Amino acid sequence: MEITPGTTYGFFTDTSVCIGCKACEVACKTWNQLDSADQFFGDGYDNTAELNDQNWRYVQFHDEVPDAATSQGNGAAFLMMSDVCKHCSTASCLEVCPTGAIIRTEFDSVFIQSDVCNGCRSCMAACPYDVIGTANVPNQYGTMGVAQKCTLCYDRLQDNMEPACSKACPTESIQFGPLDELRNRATQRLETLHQQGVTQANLYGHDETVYGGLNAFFLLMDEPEKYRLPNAANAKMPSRNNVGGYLGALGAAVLAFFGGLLALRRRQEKVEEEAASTPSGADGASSNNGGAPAATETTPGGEGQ
Amino acid sequence: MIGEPAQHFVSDPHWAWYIVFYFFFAGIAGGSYAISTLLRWRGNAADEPAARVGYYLALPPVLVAPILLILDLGQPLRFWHMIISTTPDSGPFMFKVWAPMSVGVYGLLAFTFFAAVSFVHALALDGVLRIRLATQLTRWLEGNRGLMFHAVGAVLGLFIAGYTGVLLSVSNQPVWSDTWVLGALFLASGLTISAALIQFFGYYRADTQPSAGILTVFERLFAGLEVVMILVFAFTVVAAGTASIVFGGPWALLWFVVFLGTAPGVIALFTRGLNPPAHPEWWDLRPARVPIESSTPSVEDPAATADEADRAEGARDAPGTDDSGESAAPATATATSTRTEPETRRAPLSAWLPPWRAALFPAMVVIAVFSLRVAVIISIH
Repeated sequence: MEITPGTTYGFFTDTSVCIGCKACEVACKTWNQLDSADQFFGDGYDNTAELNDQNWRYVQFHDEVPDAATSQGNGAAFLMMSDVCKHCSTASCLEVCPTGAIIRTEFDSVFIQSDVCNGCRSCMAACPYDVIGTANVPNQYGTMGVAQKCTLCYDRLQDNMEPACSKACPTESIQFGPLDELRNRATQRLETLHQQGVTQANLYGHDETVYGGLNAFFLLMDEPEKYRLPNAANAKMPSRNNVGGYLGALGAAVLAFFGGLLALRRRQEKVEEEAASTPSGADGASSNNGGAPAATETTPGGEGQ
Repeated sequence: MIGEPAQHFVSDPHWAWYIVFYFFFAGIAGGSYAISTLLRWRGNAADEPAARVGYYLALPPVLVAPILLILDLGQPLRFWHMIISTTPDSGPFMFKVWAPMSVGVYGLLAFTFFAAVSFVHALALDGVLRIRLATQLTRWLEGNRGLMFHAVGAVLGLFIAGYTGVLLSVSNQPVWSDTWVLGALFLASGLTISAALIQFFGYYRADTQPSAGILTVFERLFAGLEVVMILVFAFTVVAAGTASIVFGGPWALLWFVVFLGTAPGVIALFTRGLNPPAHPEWWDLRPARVPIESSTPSVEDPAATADEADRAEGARDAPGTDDSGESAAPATATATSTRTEPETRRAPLSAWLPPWRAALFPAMVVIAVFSLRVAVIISIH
């Protein structure tokens, strides 16, 4: 295929045909020169465990093997899903990056520039999908400590090659192409599955409800939460807390300021009172029963913002 | 309001001890600058020494703070990438108003400038710095222009004390992003510890005695605000279903410490409101220098000799000072009393150590405020 800059490209990952072979993981690590997964004696078949600085494709295994007496499983005995950076249309990581290292490329993917990133990890705090990690070993540029994640094989795209994972996938679970074409395929595939009685199949991230649309979206065989994907109600941008956060801090500052003024005024009142009552000057020991009754004195506007 | 619990499938950014200490120092720096400015603006002339203590207190933490941040980075030498843009074909400066970390870098730079100027200004006023620059600065900061300068600095100080909480909230982390009140909480907490520390360090400077009472009231006020913010914080995380992360397990002990440190202030707020303290002698600040008597001074009882110094100092205090428990003669503005200024000598070690009453409460507040930051920041790991 011809890969042209200026078009949005992405992945459609159809988990209904994923066989859990992890060719995607191997291809990704080979192409990007990443370390092998260090979980060796992991639990079950899922021994990659997570996406991080060295795992940019990670095949999730969710063991839901039913009791042999009850059912055949209907494609749900293992939920397998090749997890990856979602390249969100409105990306949380890009929003908070203070160095501008995270950019959108000409293929509309989300890319971390390794030479700009200073390893502050704001993107890690922001990413709702637990995608990004920082490198404890030097990356291919010899840099340590910077944030890393799937690049949508930016270097391959620029040379007209599709990403390594989609190239390697033997069942075409991972499909690469222009986004609108992928979305068409996905809706057709969903229709087919539903007609076959696989009613639990659903699409995640194929439209704007989740982060403006995920360029790497999924056909799932269960609820998103099963795959550690927040549902639409919980797919929120970090910037939602900007206004509330700053207004709250401003409210606290205002309360503190006016409270301080009030305290200074009380002191002044007491001094004036003493000066009025004992003209010879302050006699500190006996001046404690002046002032307004304590019961009415509470912090002004005692409720917080 | 308690609906579905919030879903968080995130990994944590490993912001740990460098960041805990950074938040701690930012609160002290910004809080003390703001309190000092309030004293200078709305206090009376006798509060000036305490204000200077606050301005002295504001600079060292804000100098250490950026070092902590830089050390926390994965690539520390690239810290300047947050100011100068290194992406090809982009503008010279890097600034995102919607990213608190970006705003904070500039806020920290700006506040450091104000803190440094006010520090030097205080040195000049105290006569420690006698170079020409100092006198020029003093002249430049006289009157309203000085007040405006310090007011801007105070706003910046409150910003750096509070934006840190906003930074935690502008994320998708459990607890942090489930609430909007962290900025307010850290701001209130920073003010609390600053009031306690100004009062504590005022021990080493006898002329801050008149301000001891108002600083005590400020501590009450800010402790009360802090507790209100903690309650709002608790309410928001309970509503999100993530309260057990920050309040459960070992963190409960830290929160107990937090309440121990703020309880005296809150109780006093209920019993005395914002009125001056009922027992000012509790907040008696003793000087670190004791006068030389003709007879050998009894070092076991610095109180007696210190009272002498107090009375001598008291004669110079401006009228309308706080109830400081001493019977000061009406201030006649005569600096010369019938006896000459007693010679003082550096006090023995026992007088350098503050009396337990002066040290205990600030220590409790310091531990409480530090524990608050540990609980909020470390618990999500």
